[in-house]
Amino acid sequence: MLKYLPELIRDNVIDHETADRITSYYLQKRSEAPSKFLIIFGILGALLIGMGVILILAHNWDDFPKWLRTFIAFLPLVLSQTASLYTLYGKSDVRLWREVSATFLFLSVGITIALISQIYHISGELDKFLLTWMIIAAPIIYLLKSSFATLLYIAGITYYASTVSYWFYVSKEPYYYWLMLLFSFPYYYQALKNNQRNFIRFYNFLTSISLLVVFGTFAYSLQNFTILLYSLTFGLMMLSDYIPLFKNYRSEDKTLYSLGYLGNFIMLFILSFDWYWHELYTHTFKFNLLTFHHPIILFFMLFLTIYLVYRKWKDSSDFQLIDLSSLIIFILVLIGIIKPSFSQVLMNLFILIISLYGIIVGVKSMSIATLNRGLGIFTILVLCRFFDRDIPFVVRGVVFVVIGLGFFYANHRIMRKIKNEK
Amino acid sequence: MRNRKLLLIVLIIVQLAVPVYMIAKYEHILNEGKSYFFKIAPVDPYDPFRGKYLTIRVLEESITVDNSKDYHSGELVYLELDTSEKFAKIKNVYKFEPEGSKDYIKASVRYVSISKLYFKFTFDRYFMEESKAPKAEKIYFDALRDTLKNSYIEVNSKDGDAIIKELYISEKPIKEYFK
Repeated sequence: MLKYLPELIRDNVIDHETADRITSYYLQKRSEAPSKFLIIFGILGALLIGMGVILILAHNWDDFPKWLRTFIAFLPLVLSQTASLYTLYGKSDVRLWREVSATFLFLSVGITIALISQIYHISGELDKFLLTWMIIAAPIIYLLKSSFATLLYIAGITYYASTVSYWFYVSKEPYYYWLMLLFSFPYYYQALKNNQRNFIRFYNFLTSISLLVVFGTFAYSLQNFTILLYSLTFGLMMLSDYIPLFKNYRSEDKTLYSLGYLGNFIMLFILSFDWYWHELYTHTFKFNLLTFHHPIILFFMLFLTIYLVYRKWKDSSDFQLIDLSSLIIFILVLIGIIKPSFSQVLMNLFILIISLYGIIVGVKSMSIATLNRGLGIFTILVLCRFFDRDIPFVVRGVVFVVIGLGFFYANHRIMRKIKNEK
Repeated sequence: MRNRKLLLIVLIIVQLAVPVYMIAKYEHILNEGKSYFFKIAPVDPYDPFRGKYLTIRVLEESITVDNSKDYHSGELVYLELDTSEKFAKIKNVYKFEPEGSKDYIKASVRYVSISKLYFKFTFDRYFMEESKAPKAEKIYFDALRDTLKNSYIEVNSKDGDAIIKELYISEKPIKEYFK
């Protein structure tokens, strides 16, 4: 950027004052960069040391007496606690110290508990171990104001929730997960206010993944309605820019949007097959008091999605049909309880409309990318329908040839249009 | 800020208290608990030494009941033990702590069949050094295949909480083989 400034001043694009402001802005950015790298490498270092200690100690140490093994088990914890105290008393304003000592302390808590279990041959239950670890490590987030510890914590509680509900009998609910997730919100809110872009980005990403994992544990009670939770989560990932809290974070980073887009895209196609609708018809969901919060969460997400869709429709010039997909899926699943095959037809129709809309808009606006996305969706739709219908090979072949020719023709026309315009 | 320093000190004390409490609890079981012997059965030959422990399978791991439907896998139960001989056997299963009985341990239901309950014990691992794995595996297999050789674990239990004290292969503590 700085390279082009003299040229821009010469051609009267910007004045000297603006150029100076731009220069100082970038120079300041440059001075911030090294500390960022230091923090990243510091955290990596703490992680590696933590893992290394785990590996060295896991090697076991049968020949040491019990007291010595116990002493060694406490070492990482005591060291990292000392480092955290030192940080808070002397270096509390240095982010590098805070992040590194918090990471180290967070891991040490788990290491020590695991090693003590090992000394006494306790096989223990993984979920209890993780729960204990997360509870006594959670306050680190606030006391050392550490973003990375927050991310570790989200990963940890997700792991906890899945050990509780996934591979045991299914009436166990990861209630604590929700409480523990709530516990991270104040830190997150602070970060939003302080505009910590990187952390917000990682947190949103990780929490979305975490929710997707935990919603899988609802499958026992919600049965086939679980798919609604997934599609609403994907929908919220796509629309997260329109949550008032994220006003300042709009459209910077498309990771979350793309992931949600891809997720909902897959959902649409899954629901275009008849097996889901057939299943929906035969299994209804089991309501019981243990899982009363499942429908509540579902409806909360539904209303939030409706609100955000409305916001995007009002505020954005870039409203797309696929933004509606989680709502369409919701409506069609409700219809599908009574008329499954009708819903399936509508689902296919919706995908068809998305693809045709893409093709039309692509041709009109001469955007090759939009056109080919529409054509691509159309092709996948045709492919999917070939799978569940017995269509003679000759017909399939002809259809594909026609679609292929259509691809060429549409692209060719746009190319020509662009040329003529020039 | 002062509050944060104070809270960090409180947190540090709590973080230390957890492992200290664990140690105290296990030491209490080892010192004050009653000891039982359980015969062990051959394990899946595929991988008895997982990472850093030997998998322990208790020979007496099931009991015949006529109300197996009332139990589901994962449930916590109390097993009353018959200790009339050297090796303990499961006498009875309860959903609540049995009163009046001294000899019982906590376990969880691993698997429910039509007439039997199979249990998962809290002592199903014996941690050892990685470098000893190959040799331990061999000793373990040879001894367990030979039913005439007595291989068993000594378990200490207090108020139903049971932990392994020693693993005996052919009547000898496993550590003896590595001296």
